[in-house]
Amino acid sequence: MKKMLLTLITFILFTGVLFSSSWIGGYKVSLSGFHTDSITHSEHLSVNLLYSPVLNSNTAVTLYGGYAFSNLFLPVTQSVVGGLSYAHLIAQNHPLEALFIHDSALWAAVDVSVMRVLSSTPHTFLNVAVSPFSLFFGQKFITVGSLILTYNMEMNELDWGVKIIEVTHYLW
Amino acid sequence: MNFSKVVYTLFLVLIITSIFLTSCSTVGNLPLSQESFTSMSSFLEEKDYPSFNTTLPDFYYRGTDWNKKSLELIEQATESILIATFLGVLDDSTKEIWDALKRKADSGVKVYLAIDAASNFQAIPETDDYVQSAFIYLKELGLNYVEYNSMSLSNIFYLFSLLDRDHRKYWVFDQELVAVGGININHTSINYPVGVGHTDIMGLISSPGLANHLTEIFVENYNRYAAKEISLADFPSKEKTLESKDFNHTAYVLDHNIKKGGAVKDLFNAFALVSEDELWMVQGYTFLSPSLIKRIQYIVDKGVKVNFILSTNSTQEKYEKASYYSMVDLIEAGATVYLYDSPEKAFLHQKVAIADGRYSTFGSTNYNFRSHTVNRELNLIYDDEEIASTLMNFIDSLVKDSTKVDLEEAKQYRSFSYYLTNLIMQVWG
Repeated sequence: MKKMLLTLITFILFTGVLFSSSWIGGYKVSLSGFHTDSITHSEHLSVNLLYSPVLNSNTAVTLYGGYAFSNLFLPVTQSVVGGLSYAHLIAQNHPLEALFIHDSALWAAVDVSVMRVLSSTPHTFLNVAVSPFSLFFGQKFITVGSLILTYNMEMNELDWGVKIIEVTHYLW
Repeated sequence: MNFSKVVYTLFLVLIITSIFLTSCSTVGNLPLSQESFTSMSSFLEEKDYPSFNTTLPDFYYRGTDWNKKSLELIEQATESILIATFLGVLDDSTKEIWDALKRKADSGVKVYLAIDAASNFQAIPETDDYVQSAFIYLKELGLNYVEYNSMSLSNIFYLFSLLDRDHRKYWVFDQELVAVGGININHTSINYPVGVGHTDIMGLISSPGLANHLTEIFVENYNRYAAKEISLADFPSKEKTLESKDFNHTAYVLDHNIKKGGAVKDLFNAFALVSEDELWMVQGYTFLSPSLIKRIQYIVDKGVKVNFILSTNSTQEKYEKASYYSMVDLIEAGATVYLYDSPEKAFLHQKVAIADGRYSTFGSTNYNFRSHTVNRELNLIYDDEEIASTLMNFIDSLVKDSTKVDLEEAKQYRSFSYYLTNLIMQVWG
């Protein structure tokens, strides 16, 4: 199964260059932390493949799915993640524009995801992330400082977290 | 990761890469295509390549000449200037262009640029130093530009995408004038040797139809990398308002994008199929693969005299070594190879083909693997004796400064060092 998945991912990545009229897919990685007793408080690195059926100059709707782990070399919490995000243009001109060599625009995003923690006592979390500060660069989004509301569906506990940074990069 | 996993991963990468290379480098079944081939125009129209009425092109063969003309054209523009260039750098020779564009933008002319990220890695000839790309300066000037496929940190998850480069060079002025060719806005194209620039080509054409088509291509490409989209409506077509009896030449446009199945393959196959007598290929960056040799062999076997003009005086040794390595293959396939040595020591960067004194093409496309596959390329094709004759006159002048390479000399360039450079340049060059 792992080999099949690896083959599929490698194939997609190698052939991504074949599809290049307007962006529809790519990947996103993010670094988050959760204030909940159900999982570790360590940082969680999430790696996802994404599909954006809508991506234009002011709106992006994105479906994604992937894998998250709490420590790069010795994972203590592993999860599978799937979600839907909606991003919208806030301002084409913004105060930080001069800092970047590439043209940028300020967007905001709302992200709803389900995170299934793979452990001896599995937990399922419904996460809602609000991202008021997302910079769009044409081929990528850089999002910083998102607030996450997290709900443990087994324990009926509501808690919170922070997504420190998320990079969304379109490949095809 | 244990040994078996390493082997498995390497095997997987090898297989996928092999499939990719083989499938993309094929030239197709030329004998079969020859049977059904009737004419250049029907071949291109069957494959849906668009054509447009144009004026007789004015050709600019030296970097400095084009630079001077482009500055004039910028000054004359009143509505819009769209520029797509593979390389855009900042140095004394290019600053004048960027500053002229800034003045035009300030005067209300819509100015947009698309420049490939390879501009960040351009060496100064005969040194190990790099010249600064134009991006920071363009940002300071406040000009609208996009960087094609930037080499950013987020690409580390997908290094293969870095091979995707936009090698096209075209300018569109006021939705009417178009320039297509091989000249970049960089220190070597327009000013190396100093005061000369490369021996190259830009064809300047009046054609509202072609201008509109290239604008569509430009806008689509620009919007992929721009945070603020531009609209085609900002560049109204003049196809219906501008009519002239001078638009009596027909240009076919081949805009190569690998997802569209490979226009470059069709470009060179068209010349392979149409040639009956003589084919000239001016191609300084000829880095052959087996399938590209096979095509040349096919043309020679038809009884066509095939001539290649390669060049010395490259700005970097690797380009010479990679193309020199191919000389043996060309000669053994039956082609005649000329090595151009400019009296002014200018590199021959021109990409031109002429068949039977009638069919001609010019643009950005090299006869190598990259142009056939991952590069974006743009060429115009004419079935027009007047244009072919003009270009042939220039080729005659190149031949005067060239020496014919025999097999014995060509074999000097088959050492391992040349082989390795050729291999690397298949992907990197």
